[in-house]
Amino acid sequence: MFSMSEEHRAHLSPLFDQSPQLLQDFCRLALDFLKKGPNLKLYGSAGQKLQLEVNVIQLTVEALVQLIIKCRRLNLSKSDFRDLVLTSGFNEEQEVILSEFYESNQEIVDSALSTLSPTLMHYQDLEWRFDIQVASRALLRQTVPVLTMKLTFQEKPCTGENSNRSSLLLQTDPNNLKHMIKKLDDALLEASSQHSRRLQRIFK
Amino acid sequence: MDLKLSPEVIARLKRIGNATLVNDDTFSKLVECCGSTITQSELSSDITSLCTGSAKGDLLKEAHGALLSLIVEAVRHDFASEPLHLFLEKKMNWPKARCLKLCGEYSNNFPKIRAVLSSVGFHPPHIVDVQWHLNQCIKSSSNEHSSAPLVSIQLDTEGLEGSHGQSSVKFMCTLPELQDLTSKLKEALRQIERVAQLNHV
Repeated sequence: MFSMSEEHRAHLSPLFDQSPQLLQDFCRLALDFLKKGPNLKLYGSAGQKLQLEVNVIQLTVEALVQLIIKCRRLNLSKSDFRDLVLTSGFNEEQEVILSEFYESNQEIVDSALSTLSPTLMHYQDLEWRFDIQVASRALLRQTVPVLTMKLTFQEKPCTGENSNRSSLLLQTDPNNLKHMIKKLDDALLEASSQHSRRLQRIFK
Repeated sequence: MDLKLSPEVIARLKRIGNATLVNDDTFSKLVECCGSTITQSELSSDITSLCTGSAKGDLLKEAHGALLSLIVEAVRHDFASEPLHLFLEKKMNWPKARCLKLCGEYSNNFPKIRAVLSSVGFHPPHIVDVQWHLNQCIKSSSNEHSSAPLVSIQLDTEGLEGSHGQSSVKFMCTLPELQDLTSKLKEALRQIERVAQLNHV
């Protein structure tokens, strides 16, 4: 478990004596930040409502985002999160709202976190056609079975809408295709083997 | 179906049939040379050693070239050795023994020459093998708890001109992505097997 810095706590402090309704509004602002990044316009109108400076609102939202992200990074359990929130100055009613926010938005936090990890080329799609080569310039009469494949790759985790895609044309023959399927099946089988399931359990 | 040979090649082929220009011993060496030239196998007799020191070096080289054209053209058209024999005997006026010698070599080397010719041309990179490893991410700079397993896949190919001279394609798959990939490949294989069975009926 991480200990919250004084500064972080100070930035969260405007929330401590707010009504549950207002805390939920801040949670919504934090969620918006996670999805789309900061939005000063929204903070401006919130500031007018609460009679607070825009930069105070911004710092508060950022502190809230920071709290959620840090907890998710460490994969804090529900009870650990609860303890952290209560010891940092929130009351019990507010803790319920924050816990609910933490629990229900883990996927969004994960996808925001994954944009920071290195992107890798992932398999995306495969299109194929089966041909029989009947003749070529060098050899007129032939019957050569050929499977032509178009593999599409995509960079993942995707960063924004302009994710990098590429495709590649490959071919193979039935024997190599059989061999490929066998080897890839081995990989799938290994993924559900006792050994790899044990590792997954240990590091969960 | 006719063999398409230029008039020069035909003239040279006719000359090869002439025993006063090319004696029997040289002829059989020439014929053996042709097979090894096309299949690029290491054989004791090759055309350079045959020509060096011979007074008829130029003639032999011409003859070698003409025979190569003849053999490649015949294989290209999927000629059996009988029609080839007929062509040499009737149209090129070769003695029977020479026709037999050449046709014998021709049918011996036919499968190999066919293989050589079928590899001439262009095609997309051909997948010949696949390597994989399965990874479980335990921690990363942005995430301190483990996530789903990832499979790295490398497709080894022939004929891929990579920027660094590499001949393989590397990419990652999550397990559902890998399942999707293999199921699509299996579907392709099923269809191919269906087509193969249709042919046998």
